[in-house]
Amino acid sequence: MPLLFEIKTMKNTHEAPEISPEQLARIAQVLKPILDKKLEKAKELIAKIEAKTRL
Amino acid sequence: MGKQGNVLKLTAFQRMQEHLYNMALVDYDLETEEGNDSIVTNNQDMPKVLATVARILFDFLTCLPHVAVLIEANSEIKKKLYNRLIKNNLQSIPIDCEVLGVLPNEETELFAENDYHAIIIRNKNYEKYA
Repeated sequence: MPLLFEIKTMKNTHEAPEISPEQLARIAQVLKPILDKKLEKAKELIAKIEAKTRL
Repeated sequence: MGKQGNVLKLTAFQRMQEHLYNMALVDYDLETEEGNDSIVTNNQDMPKVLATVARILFDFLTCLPHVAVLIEANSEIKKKLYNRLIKNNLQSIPIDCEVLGVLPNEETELFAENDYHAIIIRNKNYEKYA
């Protein structure tokens, strides 16, 4: 999982519902493949950017 | 609860390097227990969602002024949305932050009038902190 995993819930009211630790763990488990894929894609882009510009 | 159901919007900051994070936005459907990063939720609350995401981002940079955050859209629609959002709200960006646009050839520049492939937001004193 990302080092920082902030959860913010925004329904129309933008009020966060109660989320149990178990539910949060389940959400993290479900989203892990999606987030891993996004991270890999971002790393590829950063490598290309840093080949031209130092960040 | 919106038109499309009870959808959680999650913001994840993924560390790529010591001073470089990726900001990922994903949806989680509480009823089907499915995640998705490619759909437009269309819950009729886009301005509120984007304002909240911006607040999260700037809170993050306030806490960690030595990092830069990459935001990459995963579709043309979102790319246009993010470009328009930043362009229309440049005056609302905190004065101590700067926005870089990533051009299609992966070069970067201070956000201007171009259509950017991705966006990098960081503290103006980033180099001092880094």
